[in-house]
Amino acid sequence: MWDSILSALPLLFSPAVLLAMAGGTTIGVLIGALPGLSATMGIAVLIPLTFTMDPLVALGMMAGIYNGAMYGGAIPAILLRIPGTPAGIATVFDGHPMAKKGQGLEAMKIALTSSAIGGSVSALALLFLSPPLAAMALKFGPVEVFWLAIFGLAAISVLLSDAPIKGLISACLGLVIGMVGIDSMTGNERFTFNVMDLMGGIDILVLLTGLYAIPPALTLAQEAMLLSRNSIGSGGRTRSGIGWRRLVPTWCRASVIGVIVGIIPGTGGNIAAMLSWNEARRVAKDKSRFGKGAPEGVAAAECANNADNAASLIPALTLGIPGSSVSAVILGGLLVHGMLPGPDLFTRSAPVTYGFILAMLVTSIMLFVIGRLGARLFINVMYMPPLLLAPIIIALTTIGVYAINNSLFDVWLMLAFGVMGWGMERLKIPLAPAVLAVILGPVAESNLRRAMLIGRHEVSYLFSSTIAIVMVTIIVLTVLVPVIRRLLTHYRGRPSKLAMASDPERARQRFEP
Amino acid sequence: MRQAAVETGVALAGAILSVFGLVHALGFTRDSAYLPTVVMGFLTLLLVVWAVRSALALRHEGGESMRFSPGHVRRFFTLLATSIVMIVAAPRLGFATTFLLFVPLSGMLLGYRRGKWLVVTAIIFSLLIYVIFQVVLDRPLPPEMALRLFTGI
Repeated sequence: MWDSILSALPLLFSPAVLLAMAGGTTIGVLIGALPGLSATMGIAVLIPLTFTMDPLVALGMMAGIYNGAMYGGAIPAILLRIPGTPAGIATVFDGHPMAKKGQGLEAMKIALTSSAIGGSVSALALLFLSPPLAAMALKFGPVEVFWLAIFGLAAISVLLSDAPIKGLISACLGLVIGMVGIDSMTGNERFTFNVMDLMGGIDILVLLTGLYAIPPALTLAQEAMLLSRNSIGSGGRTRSGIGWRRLVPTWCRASVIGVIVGIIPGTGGNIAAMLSWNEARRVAKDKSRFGKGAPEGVAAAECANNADNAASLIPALTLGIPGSSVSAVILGGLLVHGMLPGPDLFTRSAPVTYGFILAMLVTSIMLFVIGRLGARLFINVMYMPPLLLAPIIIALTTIGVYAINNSLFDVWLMLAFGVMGWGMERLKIPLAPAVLAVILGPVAESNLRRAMLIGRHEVSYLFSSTIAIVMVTIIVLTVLVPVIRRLLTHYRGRPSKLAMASDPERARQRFEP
Repeated sequence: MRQAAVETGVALAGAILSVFGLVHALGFTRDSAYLPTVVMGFLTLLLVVWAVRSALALRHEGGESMRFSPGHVRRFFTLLATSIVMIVAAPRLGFATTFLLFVPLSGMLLGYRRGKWLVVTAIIFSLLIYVIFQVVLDRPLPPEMALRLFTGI
């Protein structure tokens, strides 16, 4: 591992990669600061542009966007009471009351420092936990890989939405989209309807860009939210002095929560931030300060949502199972650059893989510097008129997707997926299961077929190993989570913390002063 | 409009399409048909359950509603329509040239009224697109009409 890290360092500190990381971090903060845009959307728009770049330059840029956007979401959360990204919801609880007291700039400083610390811890977790997990994945045969793919799908379908049926519908849609084209094992056409452009299947980038970039653009235009300078203000000038030492225990707890939540598929930054904020409040001597501008509240939320970042890539890089929409998009980015997730990533492509992991660490540190230097610019970006931003996003995605295969058909397909994604969002059908299913569907199918061949078409072969039985048990438990949630809500008379964390609106209603 | 009513309609339409997909999948050869058949069957079942649940929710008073103001609907379809026109025009005019027209036109039709910013943003954005895709990335894109008009090349 250390050899690979050492061989990655010269690549990482080359001028092009450093520039890409700094640029990506800045773009990420700008994207995060704009309400309605997310890290997933930023990376989805960017991937087609990085198509011809060196893999580490592209991945360094993605790492920057990911870390930057997660912090950027805190800026409107603190100053406007509008979380820039879903993970910024818990930052609102104490960040905005601080801004109202005239401590907006202090809240932003706490958010920035906490984000940088959370991001760094998360990157270190990714660096040290991934190689052993990847080595363990080498022991997996077709049966285990099949169940792993099913677990990834089940977890994200069931845990991501309040209505598991919608998550499962989304996953099935993704599986169907993933099956379009010529079946690689039999050579038969599936769902092509004799359309030549569909023979090669649907490019994952077309789907990612359509689902994640077009709906925010349509929503921006539709809602036409315009902010005036009065509504933002300068962040306030009151300086009460931040007790940084007081925040250290909060950062420690938040980092651990963020990393653990990040590793679990189907969760995300919003859940990590909510749980961490709740934990900070639980251990506080004076709980009444929370929700009224407690610096620990901002630190807990921001540290945890950034500690979730790199950790959420652990299952994606080692097992090929992305646990969140943003890790699915990054996985798409890896695939575009010819890097197949799994143990091979840590052997054959080791310098680039370790380079990418270190880029997650370096961009977390860069975020601190860029955030301090560009604070005023990032506040000003919130004035950017959405009515102008929406057509720019559409234009950028159009040329990006066209440039992949020089295909206008891909552009039409992207627009169709975009409208479909917009509709799914309106109907509260999560998008991530569909994207994951496109990635995991072919993995599950090919391994199922291989397993059936090895097991001579005996279904019992699918349950023949201990790992497989453990996985099936975990899948069953995961599927039962909504039932358990409902039972808990019924007996307690109020929703569980996890249920609230996965439903920001409900959380806001309960906790916000 | 009530969310449950929209969901019932979408679920029923989806279920019908899914049945067609299931029938289509049954026509694949044996090895290729296995997963598509299972997935389409499961999807049909899920959509029927969703439709039934949404229809049952319709019987109860209250519930969530989907509100679209006329302005929302107008802006949504405006951006969609201008995007379609842009995609049709781009291969003929060139991407940067099309964006030079698309960005200010869409912005104006959507309701943005600062003409100077519309023009400046469109020019800077189109120039950036040209530099990134044609000069830096060297992608083979359709020739730019604006360039032909200005340079005669």
